[in-house]
Amino acid sequence: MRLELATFSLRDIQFGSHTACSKGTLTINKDELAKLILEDKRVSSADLDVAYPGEKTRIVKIHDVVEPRVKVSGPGCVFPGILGPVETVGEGRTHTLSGITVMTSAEYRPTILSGTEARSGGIVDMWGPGASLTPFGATINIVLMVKLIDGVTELEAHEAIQSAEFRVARRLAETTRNLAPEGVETFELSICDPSLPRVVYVLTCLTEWHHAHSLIAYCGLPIRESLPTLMHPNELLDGTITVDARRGGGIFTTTWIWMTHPIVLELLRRHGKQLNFLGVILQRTRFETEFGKQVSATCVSQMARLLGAEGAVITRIVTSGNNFVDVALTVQALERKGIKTVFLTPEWGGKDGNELPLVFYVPEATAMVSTGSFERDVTVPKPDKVIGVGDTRLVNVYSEDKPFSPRDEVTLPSSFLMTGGVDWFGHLTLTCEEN
Amino acid sequence: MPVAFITAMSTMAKQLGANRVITGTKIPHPCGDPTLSAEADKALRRAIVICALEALQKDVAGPTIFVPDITFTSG
Repeated sequence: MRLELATFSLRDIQFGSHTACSKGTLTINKDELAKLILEDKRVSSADLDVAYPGEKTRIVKIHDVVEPRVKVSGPGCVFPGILGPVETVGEGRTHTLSGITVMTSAEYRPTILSGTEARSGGIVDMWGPGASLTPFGATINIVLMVKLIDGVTELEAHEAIQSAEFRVARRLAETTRNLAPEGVETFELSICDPSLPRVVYVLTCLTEWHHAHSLIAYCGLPIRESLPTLMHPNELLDGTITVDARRGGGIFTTTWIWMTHPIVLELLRRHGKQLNFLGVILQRTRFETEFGKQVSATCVSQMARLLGAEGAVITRIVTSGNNFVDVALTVQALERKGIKTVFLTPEWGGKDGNELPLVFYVPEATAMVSTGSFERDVTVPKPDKVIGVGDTRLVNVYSEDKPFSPRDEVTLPSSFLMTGGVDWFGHLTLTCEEN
Repeated sequence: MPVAFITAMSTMAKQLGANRVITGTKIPHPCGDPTLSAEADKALRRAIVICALEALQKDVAGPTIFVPDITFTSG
C-alpha cells in the first residue's frame, strides 16, 4: 500500500464569488458552502466565518475539527464509510490543504443533559496564552456555525454535525484536484533491511460502549467493546478513524488530530531508514473490569509478538483514570513479552502540580514521556471578537457547569480549551523546565 | 478498625494501600450484576460479601487482594 500525500499549504483565506484555490490563497463562496450544509434537512441554519492566527478572536462551542482532504486516485475516499462506501483506504493519492482547518461550532437541543456525554463544545483562542496550548492557534480556521432542528436524536446530531464538516472540507479540498501540489510525500511500509529494529505503534482509544456514539469510530462504525484491531498507518491519513462530532472540549480528541497524527507520520518517515514500522494496533480501552483490561492487554501484547515487534510506542487519549489502568497493564504485558515499550501519557498532578501525577503504576513502565497536564488553570484575556453559533454571551463546556462570558478575561481549567494543555500525539512544541 | 474494600479495581486499591481488597464484579456495579437473574445476582452478591466478611477476620501483613469465588465473564 503506497499513499502519496500531496500538500497545498495555504497562507490566506478570503470570501469571494466562487470557491477556488490559487497560489496559497483559498477563496470561499460563503453562500455556496452554506447551501451545501443546508442540503441536510436536519440543519436549520448555517453560516461561516474565518479566524486567523494572531488576531484577538475566541471561537466557542467547537465540536470537532478536520483538515480538508480529498482522494484523487486510488480506492475509496477520505472518510470511508461516511462520505462513501466502506473501503480499505491509504493507497493512491490524497490532496490535503495544510495550514487551515474546518471547525464546527454547533448547537442542537440535546436529550442528554448531564454526564460526560453532555457537552456545549470547546474553545480556541487565536492569540495569547490560549493559542499556545492548541495546534488550532496557528492554523487559519474556517468556522462553520451550524444549528440543528429540534427533535434530532443524539446520534443524528453527531451525523449532521460531522456531515456538514466533512462535506465542506471535501468541497474545499476539491479545489486542488487539477492543481500541482507544493510537495508530495510518499508513505509505504515496503520490505526493508531486516536488521532494522521492528517497531509497532499501539494507539489506544478510550471508547464508551453505553453512549449514543462510543467516541471513536473505524470507517464510521463506533468502536464499542472490541479487542485490538491491526491497521495500516496510511489508513489514518485517509480518515479511517473519526470521532464523536458532538463532543468537543479539551479532553476529547478531534478528527484533525487522528488524520495528522505526528507519531504515525514520523514512524512512517523513519521506516526503512532507522526502523521497521510494523503497523498500528488500535486498542480499545476503558474496560469496566480488571479482567477485561487484562484480556485486552494480553491480546495487544500477543499481536505485537506475532508481528515480531522488538519495540512498541504506546499512547492514550482522554483524561480517564479508568483507561490509564488498561494502558499501564498493556505496557506491562508488552514488556513481559520482551518488547521494549515507550509510554506517552499526560499527567494529573492537581492545579499546582503537587498532587500525584499518575493514578496507577506498573514497574515495567520504565520509559515514559509526559504530554502535559489537564488539571492546570489558564487565564485568557478579553478578545476583540467571539465567533460561535447562536448566542455567545454566555457559554459553558460541561453542560452542568455555571456559564461564563467568553467576551471577557476568564480563568478556566485548561481542559476547556481545545486541546486542553494536553498534547496527546505531539502536535505542539511545548516542553517543561525542571526547577 | 479492619476495613474490607470491595472494588472492581483491586490492583489500584492495593497500590493505594488498602489492606483488605475484595475484587468486585464491574466498575459500575462492584457488588452484583444487573444482567443476571435476581436469583443468580443474589448468589453472586452473597459470595462477594462473604469474601469481604472473611477478609475482615484475617490478619494481613500489608495490602492484600481477596478474590471471591465468582466467575468473571464480562469486560
